[in-house]
Amino acid sequence: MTKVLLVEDQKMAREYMAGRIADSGRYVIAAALANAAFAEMACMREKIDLVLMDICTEHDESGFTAAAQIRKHWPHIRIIMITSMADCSFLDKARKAGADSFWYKELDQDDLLNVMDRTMRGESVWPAGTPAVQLGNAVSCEFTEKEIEVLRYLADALSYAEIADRMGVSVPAVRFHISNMLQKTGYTSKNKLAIDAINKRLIIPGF
Amino acid sequence: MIFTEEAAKAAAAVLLLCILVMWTVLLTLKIRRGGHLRTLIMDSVLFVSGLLFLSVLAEEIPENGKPLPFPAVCAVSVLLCVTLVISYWREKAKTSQMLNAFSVKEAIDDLPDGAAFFDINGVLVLCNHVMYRLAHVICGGSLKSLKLLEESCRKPAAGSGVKRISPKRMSFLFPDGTVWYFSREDICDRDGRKYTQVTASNVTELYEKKQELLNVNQELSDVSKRMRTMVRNVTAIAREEEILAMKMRVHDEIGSSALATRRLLVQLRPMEEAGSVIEMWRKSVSLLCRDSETKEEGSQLMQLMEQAREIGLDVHLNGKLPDDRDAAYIITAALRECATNAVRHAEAAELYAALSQDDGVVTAVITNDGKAPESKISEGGGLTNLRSRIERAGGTMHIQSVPDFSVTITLPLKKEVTA
Repeated sequence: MTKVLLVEDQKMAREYMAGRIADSGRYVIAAALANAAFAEMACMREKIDLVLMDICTEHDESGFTAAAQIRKHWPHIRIIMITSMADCSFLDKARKAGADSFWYKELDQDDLLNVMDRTMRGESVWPAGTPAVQLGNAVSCEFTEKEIEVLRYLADALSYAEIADRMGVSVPAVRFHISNMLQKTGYTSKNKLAIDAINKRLIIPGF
Repeated sequence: MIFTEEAAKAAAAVLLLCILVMWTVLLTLKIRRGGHLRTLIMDSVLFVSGLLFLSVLAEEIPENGKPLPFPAVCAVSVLLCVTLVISYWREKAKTSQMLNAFSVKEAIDDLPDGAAFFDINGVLVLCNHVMYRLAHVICGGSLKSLKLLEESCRKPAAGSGVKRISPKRMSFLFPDGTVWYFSREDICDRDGRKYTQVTASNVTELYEKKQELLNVNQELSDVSKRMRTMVRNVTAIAREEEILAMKMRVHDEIGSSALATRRLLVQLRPMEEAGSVIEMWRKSVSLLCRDSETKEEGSQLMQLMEQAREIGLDVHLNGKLPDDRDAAYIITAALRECATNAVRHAEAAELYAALSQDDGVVTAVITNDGKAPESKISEGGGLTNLRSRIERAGGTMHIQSVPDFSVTITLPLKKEVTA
């Protein structure tokens, strides 16, 4: 049977998923963790075949970091990133961390088992894209990469100068991106834009 | 018309006096204008000789030995007066266009800013109204020398009510609410004489705008602080939503099990169907049981020690984790990183951590009993992440590779301890 390491910070969700996975009869839960940082130790302790890795876990430990560590030391372990956040950078970051598949939590649990089966067969299962999020008059996919990057810094409550500094561009360039986003969404203030982006989980600060 | 001789003489004297006064005024104007001495002397000689000629005419007439009739003397005198008045106006018009000491003083008096000039010895040469007024307030007396002004600027006179508002710049808030910026500059005139120019600029509006900006910035930083808090909460809210969705799902499953049971009983379905309903119940109940059976997760440290033991490593803590939860968690994270490294690279069986707290800073020294690294350790993904986490919290991390591997961490503790 395939040994599964489940990382999910929500106890309820963790238990529910663990139950469903165990019920399938094809998988056995080797460990269920709330904190992604413990995943490495769990892999050291016993032979794991498949990791279901939540992205935002307890104590703000990132699932990406943990996934990258596992990929580095145990290249044979299959990794499926799971999340319910519509953050559009997550797909890219998951690829960079070396994940095999990616699954959005909101969907049906049977779907998860399907993704697990396919991943174990050597397939890479990825959603077509980030779920589109409506921000004012715009849909999230209308934003350019640069705009999303600016939005990410805005959500961290950085000033124009700080954003320009981190992106290595000028302050007017930052203003330009923001005014473009305001124009697309029809919002009157950048704070409203940032708050809406966070509320709709287009941006998850800190990950 | 008949005039008595006395009356005529008195009138003539008054007229002469008038002429004399006007001439003096005219002469003064010319001097102010900076006219040449030679022309001034010539003008004076001409005037005096004209007067003498007039008085001679008034005394006797060469033809009939009689003096010129009084009206004639009057007419000549009035003519002289008119000429004088005209030349006075012309002179005045010229003076107003000319540059001289008086016009300079008049001009700088009109300046909205304060200006004063001192010679090479620091003695006041020129000072306008505004500067005079300001100096009077700041020095607590009249402005005499540059030294006095400079001393007063460094330390305004006691009781003057003047407050210096910037430690770097010579800006002062005066009791009337205005703000002045003093600056000095060494200047040279055309002839190479050195002067010191002191100017005071009215920067009240600038100061008020700056105060306004400070207030707005404060407001902005409050807003951004609130936003940061909100941002932190958003993730928590998102998680809560997830739990709720999960709870609803469990609720639904129990509900549908109940419905299926009811259908089974009410509609007297064949007993073969009972098997699937029982299976439904089994699943739902097992979910509920699992949930209530799950033990409360211990502290992160306990979890770490337990997990480390399972990979064959004993963690020994000498000292106490700080009450500051964030710092305690970072130290636990460091222990975790060191634990995996110790097992992986050093094949260690024991991990030691010495913790000490001093003056709001916690220091942790982490070592192990494994084999020492062969060369200097290069920081990989795990240690780099740890370092950035520690540095974000304002702490430091030092890694020693030889002779024995050790990691030393210092972290500042929050003043208000969140127990």
